[in-house]
Amino acid sequence: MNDQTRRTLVLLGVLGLLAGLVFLAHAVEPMLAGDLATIGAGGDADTGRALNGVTLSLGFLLLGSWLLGEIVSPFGLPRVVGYLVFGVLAGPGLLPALGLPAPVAANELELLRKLDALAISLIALVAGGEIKVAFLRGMLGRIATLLATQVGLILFGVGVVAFFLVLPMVPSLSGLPTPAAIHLSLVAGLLCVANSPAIVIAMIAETGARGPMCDTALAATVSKDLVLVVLLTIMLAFVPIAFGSADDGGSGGGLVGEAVWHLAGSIGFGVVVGIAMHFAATKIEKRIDVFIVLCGFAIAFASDALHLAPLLVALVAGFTQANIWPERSERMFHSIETLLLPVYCVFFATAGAGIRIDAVLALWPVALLLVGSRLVLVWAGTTAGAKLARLDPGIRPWIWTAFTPQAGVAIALANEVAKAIGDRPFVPDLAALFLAAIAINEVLGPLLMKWGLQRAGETPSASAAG
Amino acid sequence: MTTPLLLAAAAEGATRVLAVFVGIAVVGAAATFATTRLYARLQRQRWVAAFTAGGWFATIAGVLIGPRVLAAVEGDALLALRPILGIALAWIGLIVGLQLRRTLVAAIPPNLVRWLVRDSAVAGGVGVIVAACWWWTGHADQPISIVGPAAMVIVVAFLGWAPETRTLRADLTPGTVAPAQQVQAGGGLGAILAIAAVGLAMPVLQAAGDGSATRGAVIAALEPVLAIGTALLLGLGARLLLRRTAGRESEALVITLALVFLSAGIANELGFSPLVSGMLAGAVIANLRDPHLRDLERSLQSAEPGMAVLMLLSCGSLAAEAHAGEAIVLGLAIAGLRLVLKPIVARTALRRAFPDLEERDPLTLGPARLPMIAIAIAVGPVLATGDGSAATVLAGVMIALLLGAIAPALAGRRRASSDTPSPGVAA
Repeated sequence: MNDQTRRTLVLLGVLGLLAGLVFLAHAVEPMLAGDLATIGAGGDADTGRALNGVTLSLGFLLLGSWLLGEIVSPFGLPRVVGYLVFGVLAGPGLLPALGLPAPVAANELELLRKLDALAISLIALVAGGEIKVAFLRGMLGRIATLLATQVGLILFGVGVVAFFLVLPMVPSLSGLPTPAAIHLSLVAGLLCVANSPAIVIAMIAETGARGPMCDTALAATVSKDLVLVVLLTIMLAFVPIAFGSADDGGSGGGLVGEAVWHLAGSIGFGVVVGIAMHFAATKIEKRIDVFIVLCGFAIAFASDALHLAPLLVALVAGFTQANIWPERSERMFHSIETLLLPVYCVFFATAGAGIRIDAVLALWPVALLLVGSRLVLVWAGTTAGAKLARLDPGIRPWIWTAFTPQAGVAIALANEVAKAIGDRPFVPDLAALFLAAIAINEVLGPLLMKWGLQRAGETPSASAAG
Repeated sequence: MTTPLLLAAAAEGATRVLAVFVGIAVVGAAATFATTRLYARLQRQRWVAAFTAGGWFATIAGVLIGPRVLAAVEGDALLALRPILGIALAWIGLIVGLQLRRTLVAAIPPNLVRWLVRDSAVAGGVGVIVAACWWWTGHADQPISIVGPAAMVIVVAFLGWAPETRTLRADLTPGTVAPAQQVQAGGGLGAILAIAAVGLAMPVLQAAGDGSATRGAVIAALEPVLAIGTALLLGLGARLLLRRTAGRESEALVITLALVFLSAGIANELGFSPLVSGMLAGAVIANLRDPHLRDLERSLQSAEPGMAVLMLLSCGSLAAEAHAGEAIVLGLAIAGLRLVLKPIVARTALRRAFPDLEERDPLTLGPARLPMIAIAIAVGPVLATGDGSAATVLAGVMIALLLGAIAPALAGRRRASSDTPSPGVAA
């Protein structure tokens, strides 16, 4: 038995022990904690139990996902996939469907989701620090060309597939009036445009990849978020027209105002946060990691209060610091990188736990059709865009893989769309379909991206082999 | 309703956002200032050090952001404090437990043990009387499962003392180094004693509050066994994993955080204090004698000031539910009785061990100060029951801690000035 096998067996053993400990704790909890668990939350039994169990779930997801990431890594799989799969296994979707209790209950998961904004803030701070003005200045036109081609092709391509194939396959969506069907098809296209900045950053960090594909993919993914906010606002403005109801979707002016505030407010606030963080960091002698976590909380908290996008705020804050004070901000970015591993573990495991297994099981053929057409169109749109934008020929065949993973942004868009359309009878099926497709992309995307980075020769192992 | 709350009611969203921002700014500015060189310089001043050690600044910031003033932390955010504080408690428990290394325990001088036993008997006895008076004056009709843990906090607030001596005697002489070390060591041991008392008392109180005697007995017997079993499993698991990380900082951080979260989570789930489960896990880690675990110990201990600040900030907000008058009376009683009793016991113990020590040395006033662990213990019943009487006891302990931090220093200063001969007499 070699060292690697022994290590894998030890990690599997610890994972088994951990799962046993959590199941045992859940089994004896009703007897030992009793009513004490519920009275702290003002008598609300569900909230009390969730508050009681959330810390154990957090520890379980953190350690379990890290262990599974380490176990799958020697088999060539990205660790992120391990984190996501552990979330699926531990979450309230899979085991209850098999008649077993879930280690992480749905209401505990809801509480853990509140940590997403903190995780996104920290991930985006690093991402912002990676984008350099000099690179953007030279690449802005090319990124715009790449995105215009990619977004256009996916939006309309998926729209056509959804209109003629996907919607007719779902009984509750097959009989919709034409304007509503066209609108929903374009919404499906918009959701397929979205990809995950968090997974892109995590995959670049995990593989240690460096090169033009990483830089271009990161800058394009981040810029695409701005495009998505604008496109979503336009889509939502058409809800009353598409569904024939004047009281849906809010006023056009209101939506435009909200979008402008979302974009301009986030960018402006991000600059302020970046400058404030820099000056505070220069005064700090020790424990800069604690300061960074506090800043992450502050960004998450303030963005929520002001209806801003934490991702954009933190991204601009990181960008501001890295580009105005490149040398002096190095210490801070190094500290954030150390903190990122636990953040990734919890963030991706929580995302995995949130995957609606029932939706995937019920709608997998339709979801697979949507995923398949998205993959083809991402490949076609990105490769064509890369050619038009005259990107480095070495990355043109592979850069599309970086746009395949989906996670938080796509889920947020799906939820936003479902909320805007209201309580019409087909909305649960529509939301389930979108979430099922996102779930498949969530697990498949990192695998494709790792493969793409290796083929483009940007990972250390590929560079060494080359 | 305070002025900011009235404004919030009038202008709703905008004022609420402003309050949140002021709250963030208060905490952010305080946290940043605490890491600056200027603050480090100010800390050399005896009075600033006394205020800091007593947690005055963090407590005031906590009250400012709490529901009664800025209301930046209220409602859902206040509920979210429950798991966060559980984590902080487990972390503090781990730090305390790390002191329980066999070699250190074996090196405890017998006279220190005698001092602690005598001090705990006298102060604990007075604590029981104070707790009984508190129960009798307005809490006798509350169920034991609610009022029992709060009364236990009052008793525990009389045990142990703060392990800090610098603010009492900045200028240690060869004759005072050893007594100062004994005061510090006694503070550390007192914390262990207080947590152990909670660990033993909580299952009994829970059992007493339970309707069924059999079920109560099972709980009382099972909880310590489960707590020890979990601690062993977590300690051994952490060692096994740390040996496989090859010193990588980010992986060691995952294991450290998981250890703390699991310690706190299992304690929450099984109904015992995260302080106890943390302390037991810390004791296991300290006694495994593995070089890989030294890094874990260092990273756990390095977060001690941060955890203390988090605890005090949160307590400032949690104490908003307290009955102010009752809390002040309780705080004054705890601080006053400690100031009277503890120095008498300390003087006897220290003079016996160190005959050269002056009878009225300021070091003998050290044990009058409440240890920070008293706050951590007082938070437990507030989190577990969410009851106003538990919040009142928490506020009382906080007031006693704040007063205790400066009162001995003040008494020591007066004593020093009264001992110094006037220039005329000297001439």
